[in-house]
Amino acid sequence: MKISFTKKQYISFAAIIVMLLIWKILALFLDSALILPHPEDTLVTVVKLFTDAGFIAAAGTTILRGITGFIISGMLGMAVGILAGISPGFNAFITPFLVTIRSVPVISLILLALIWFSPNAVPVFIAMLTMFPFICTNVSDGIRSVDPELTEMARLYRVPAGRIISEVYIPAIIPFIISGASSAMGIGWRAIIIGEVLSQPYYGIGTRMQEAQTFLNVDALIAWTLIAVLISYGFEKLIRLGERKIVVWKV
Amino acid sequence: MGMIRLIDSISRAGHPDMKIEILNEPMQVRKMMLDGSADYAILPTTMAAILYNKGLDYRLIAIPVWGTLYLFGSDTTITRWDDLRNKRIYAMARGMTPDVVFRYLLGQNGISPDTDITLDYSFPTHIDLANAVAAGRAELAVISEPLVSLVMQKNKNIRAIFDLNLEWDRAQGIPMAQTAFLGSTEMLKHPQQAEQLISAYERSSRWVNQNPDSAAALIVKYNILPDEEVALQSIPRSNLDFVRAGSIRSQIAEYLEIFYHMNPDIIGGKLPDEDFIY
Repeated sequence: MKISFTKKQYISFAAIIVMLLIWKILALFLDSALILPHPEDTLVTVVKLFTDAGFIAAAGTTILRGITGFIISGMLGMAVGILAGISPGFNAFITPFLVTIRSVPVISLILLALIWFSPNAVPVFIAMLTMFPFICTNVSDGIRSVDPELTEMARLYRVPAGRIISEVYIPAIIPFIISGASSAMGIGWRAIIIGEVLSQPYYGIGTRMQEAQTFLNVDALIAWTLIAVLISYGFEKLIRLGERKIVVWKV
Repeated sequence: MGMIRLIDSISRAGHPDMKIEILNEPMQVRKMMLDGSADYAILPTTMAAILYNKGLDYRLIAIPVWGTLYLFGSDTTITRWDDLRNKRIYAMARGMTPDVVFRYLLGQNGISPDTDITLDYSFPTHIDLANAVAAGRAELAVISEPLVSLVMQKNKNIRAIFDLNLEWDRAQGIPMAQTAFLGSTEMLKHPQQAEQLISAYERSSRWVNQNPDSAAALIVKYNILPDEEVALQSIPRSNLDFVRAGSIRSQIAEYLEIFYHMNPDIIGGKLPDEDFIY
């Protein structure tokens, strides 16, 4: 495989360098590992974390929570989204629910969840609630974006309902689902980690972050943050990859 | 609370250059030390060791409080440590003194904190946890005075189950040097002025133990607790005894060493050197 870079990739690369430079300059200026450790020291900490015995358990559990929350909210979101897309009445009924869930500050949900659920369930619940509205709204938007004349015509020519769904509706909503999934995941990871910091389950990135904060290990705190960013980025890539596969299959 | 008479005399004498702030959580005190706005501070000894090991310019003057932790709750079935097996016990944030002290004592009594019981950290601050216990949502919790007395007054079904300070004493043969009184190196550069404050705190602490009734009245007056009855109960449970750190170096080292063996991070990665103690 030949590796080649596009101009856009060069610019992104430069942006990362600039970020690291700003970090380095700030670290030099503040001159305290207690406030902001140097990027290279933090990198060493990241590498050390990878080899740490508890790393797989902590990161793996957080990822598992993310996937669980994503699957539950994905299924619920699609079911409700399809209904809302087909029936304007149901859409009008469900919209206030979605608006409410979306406007409630995430921290309120977490504080309530801390009272309602066990520490292991809190992050999953939070992930589910933050992701659900995105997926739901995008699916129903996708269905409504289908040209009504197209379905009308298909029905006139007595095209079976199964084919209408698989050849008209599904292709139309796939891009919406992908974009919904990607913004849901972006928000979801953040919510899961906040949930973990506060609920302190036995394993989890958030648990380790809270521990680092308690023990004033600022480098470890930033290292876990970088790992969280990497996980989020990895899943974003995965979703985009999935999109390309589906598009290819469609053609 | 041991400081209450000192607080009273400062407030009556109207020292504009002195200010005493009483905060709910150790983390809030730590923040004031990180940005250097605190000249003197009182916070858990483990946290003091972390700050010193991370290079902050504070030194340990004295241990003014010798254990304020209790296992308490509404569960009436517990009389021995073994009764705790398979129970869910709430503690404030992981890695903080109540958590690590309790874990240590569990281990000493043959109970694994990770497999034999469930430690739950769902209520992340002292106040949250106290409210949860008072509301009956946490049956067993490890918490510090004066919140123990406060919750027991609010909810009569709650009782102290184990005095962890006594249990510690039993396991270690010495009381636990739980709370630290620290001064910034800047302040301690003027030993005479520093000594005035240190001995005033020392006297105040002794006075509180000798005059709990008057002390309780002052504690309510300065809004530290809402109720004299609670204050009066909390004073003997708080083990106030101002002892200068210089006279108990080995006890402090022993206390920190226990946590060092559990997890070096609890005290900032290493045992603090000699200069830690003023």
